[in-house]
Amino acid sequence: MRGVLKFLALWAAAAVVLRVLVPVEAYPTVLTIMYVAIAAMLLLTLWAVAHLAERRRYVLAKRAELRSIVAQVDPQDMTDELRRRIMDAEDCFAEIERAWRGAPWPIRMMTDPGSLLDAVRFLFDRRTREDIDAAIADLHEDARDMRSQGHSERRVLLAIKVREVVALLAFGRQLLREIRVPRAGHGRNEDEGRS
Amino acid sequence: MMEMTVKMKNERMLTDVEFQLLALTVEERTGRQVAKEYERAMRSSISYGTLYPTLRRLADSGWVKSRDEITERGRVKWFRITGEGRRVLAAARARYSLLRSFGLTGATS
Repeated sequence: MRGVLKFLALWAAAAVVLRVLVPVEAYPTVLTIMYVAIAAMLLLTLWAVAHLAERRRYVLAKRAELRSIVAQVDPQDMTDELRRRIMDAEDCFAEIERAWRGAPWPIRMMTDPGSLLDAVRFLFDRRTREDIDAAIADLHEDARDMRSQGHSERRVLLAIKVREVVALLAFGRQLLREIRVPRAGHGRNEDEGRS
Repeated sequence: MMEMTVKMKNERMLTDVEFQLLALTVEERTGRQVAKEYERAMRSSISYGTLYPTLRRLADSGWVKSRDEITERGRVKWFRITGEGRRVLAAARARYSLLRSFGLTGATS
């Protein structure tokens, strides 16, 4: 955010300097063009800020979704291993958040297909992480296909992000099943023991 | 019908998606290829978050074999039906045909 403010201040200063140094009467056309250019850059900056804020809201929403999945876990099922995985995932989201705060234009990090899946993969066991890796590679491949078909970057990212979220939720549901299975299995064994 | 139920008693029933994915692994395909074929055949897409766990379940049941290939573009998983998988698929197809002959569709389990 500080970077964005500096950027805005720079353009505002440029406008003031232009106004002071260049006499309006002498170069009215040049000044008008310069002011229009500066205004356009300011608008562009504001649009970029809004775009970034939207991305940030998106990441925060995904984090909330992850927390909601985790909140559904029965405390009895919260093993040390699972707790460690959740902390890893939280670290990953925190890293994305830090990147957003630290860099004025961290678009690459947040629009990269598979970035959120990559974050939540820490929650799963090794085999499922491999599945998620394969899904991420497939998403990248789908993105490449769309680009080669001439779709705009905006459209590609939107389509891939939607699919990524769908995959994320499906893997999230699987996580819940994964956690519940050992208990169900334990119950079955008990039943078998009784019979 | 009864005979079919008895025959299937000792094995887990296939869900619709499992049945369709099993049929698509008759020739070896990557996860992405399976997804594309599914989309073409079923005219609806399947999320990778559904595809991979379902194929994993099939592999855990011994009906599909998977192998990993690490490429420069990332991990690629290949899937192919096993002999046991072919038997289960054939049984499910027969069951499906039987249900269709009664005018029931869309259920393989």
